[in-house]
Amino acid sequence: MVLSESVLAAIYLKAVVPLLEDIAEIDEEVRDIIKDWNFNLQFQLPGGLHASSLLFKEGTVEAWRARSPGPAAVLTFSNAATLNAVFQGKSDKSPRPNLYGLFRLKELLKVDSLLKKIEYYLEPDEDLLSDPEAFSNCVRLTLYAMVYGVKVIGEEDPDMIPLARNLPRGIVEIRVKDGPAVHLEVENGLFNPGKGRAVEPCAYLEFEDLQSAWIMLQGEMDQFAAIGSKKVKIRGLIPLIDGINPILDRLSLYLSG
Amino acid sequence: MKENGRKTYTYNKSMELFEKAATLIPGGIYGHMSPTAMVPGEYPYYTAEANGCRYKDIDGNEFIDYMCAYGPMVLGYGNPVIDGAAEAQRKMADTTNHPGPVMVELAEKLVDMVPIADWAFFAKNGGDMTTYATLAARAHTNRKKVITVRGHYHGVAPWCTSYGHGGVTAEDRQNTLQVEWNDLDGFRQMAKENRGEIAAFIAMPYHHITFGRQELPAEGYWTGVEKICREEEIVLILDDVRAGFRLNLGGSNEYFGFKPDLICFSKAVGNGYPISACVGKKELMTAASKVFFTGSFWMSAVPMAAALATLEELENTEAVKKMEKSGQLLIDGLVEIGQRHGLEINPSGPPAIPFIHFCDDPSLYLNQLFCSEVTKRGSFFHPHHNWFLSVAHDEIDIKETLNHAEEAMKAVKSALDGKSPCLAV
Repeated sequence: MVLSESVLAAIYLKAVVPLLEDIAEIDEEVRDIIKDWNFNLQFQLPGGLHASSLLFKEGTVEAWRARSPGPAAVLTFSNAATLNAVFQGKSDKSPRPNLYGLFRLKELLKVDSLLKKIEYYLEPDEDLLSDPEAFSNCVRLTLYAMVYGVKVIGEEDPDMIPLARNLPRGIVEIRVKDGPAVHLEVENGLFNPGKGRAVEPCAYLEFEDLQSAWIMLQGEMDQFAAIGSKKVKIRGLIPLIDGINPILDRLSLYLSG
Repeated sequence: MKENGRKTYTYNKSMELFEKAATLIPGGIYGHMSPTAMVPGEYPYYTAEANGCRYKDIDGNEFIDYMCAYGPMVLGYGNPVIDGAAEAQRKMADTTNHPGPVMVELAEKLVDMVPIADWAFFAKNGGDMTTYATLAARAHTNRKKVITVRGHYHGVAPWCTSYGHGGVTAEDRQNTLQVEWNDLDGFRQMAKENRGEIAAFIAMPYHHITFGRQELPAEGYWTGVEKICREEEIVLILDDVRAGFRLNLGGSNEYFGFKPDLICFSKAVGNGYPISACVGKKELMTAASKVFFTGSFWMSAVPMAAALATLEELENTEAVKKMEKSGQLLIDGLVEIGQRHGLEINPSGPPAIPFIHFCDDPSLYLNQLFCSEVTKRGSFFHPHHNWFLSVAHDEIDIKETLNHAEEAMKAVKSALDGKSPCLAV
């Protein structure tokens, strides 16, 4: 199976980096780092076709899965493979800042610490997982990464595009019982992900608890068995859930590298 | 749970056994019988015993069965005529070094019964036969490509399984083209664009896809398809695995008025004994003989004896007429119950293989709720897959089922209580 470096880069830019918006809300260390930051930071591949921006303002972060809406410190990776290697911790090759970025060098030197916080929540250690609130946050953030990752794969992976185009139209909700939720609107091969519950989904998949959700999100669950034993509940337009499954599998494959 | 002094079913033993199964078997129960295809937790998972049109699960719940083992049961579970014929053959021989004489008798019977058939070939499952038929068509035409209808199910071989299922590659599907059901112009265009390359067109006799409404062929569709196939020298294959012997004993094409070159049968042909068949016109017999296709148990004599007895019994019992009558009684009753409770039911498909949808329920929430509630009261209704009638269903069974449906409808209304179906489930 040949995976596209460009698609993986898009996953990092559009599904992973934007998690800092949510992490800033729950993590005091992150808030401390960015408390005086009032500028836009844009990560991109050459030409800016794939870009992701973080808008810092008074200790908060707003994520854009596109170019910054205003002037920004831009960090350009030389190519998709380099970006991926950096995010995977396999390379310390720094991205190239633009002129505006050169004036923000002091802040940019701390960006690496911010990005490491994403890893902290997506690949938590046992200590973090033993704290119920932190565990819930890990599941929530991973769900966010998942739905935005599905959008990238469904719309950009050449093998998955035909499959995505054949999906039934509708909104699928993925939620943990009494816990975090995400939803995904699907139409003509395009995906519109969202955080939280949907108003009236065409289909839903509900984990009975955080543990079940976490196991599934780590790709360690026999989903058919879990559904049969009611650890996972599915209702509504099942072909929509079923059809997204291969895209999820592909996402795991990308991120496992 | 109790309702009017009568218990509704629970499935504790099924769930318990499934938990164990999930540690030993991928998916616990795989394929079309996977709980994921129904409403998991709201249906039985394991059968304990079966007789006539009824079966009991391992929790001791009894069901009038409207899935009929997903089609194979057509004359009733434990039918003494069929089991007697199988037992008589078993006493003589079953799986040995050679087929039994019954293989020739069965082939002769099918050739007599099915108007287009000049020969017959046997295997175990419907998917064996659809794959065999496409290979025979390729051998006959020396062409590679096969046209299928989007959504039609022809088994689990990679050529006909959707890309995205585990292990299926894009290359597996590169010679499989797809058109929409009832799109004669689309088929004509595809045949023209791939002139000289299409070996076969394979389709079910009508559109009966899981999760969807059943759609009958449009006026002139099949005769149009047949004409294009003749002009373009494309082998026309009817996948009659699911509908075969419930609409017409000569093949469902006789019901819809067209003549395919090959027909694939399975399910009802052996009343539950494992056997499938492909029949064809004599022009394809030489090519069919060149396809190397076999399996360890394909020549077993017991299923062949059972199939021979089944075909004879289907003729003797006026099976098609009886199943149509029972199916119509069931559908009329369900529609009436829906009207009375203000939830309009929209039936589809031929009465012997019916299915229902609720109006304004495109996501099937109401189907899932209603069918599981009926099942909990003693009549097995699948929420996503067409149902099957059998010769063993009689008027008393149908009336009992309609009573279950009446009570289930009340439960649905109560669950809805002004809420949308999505929130009610």
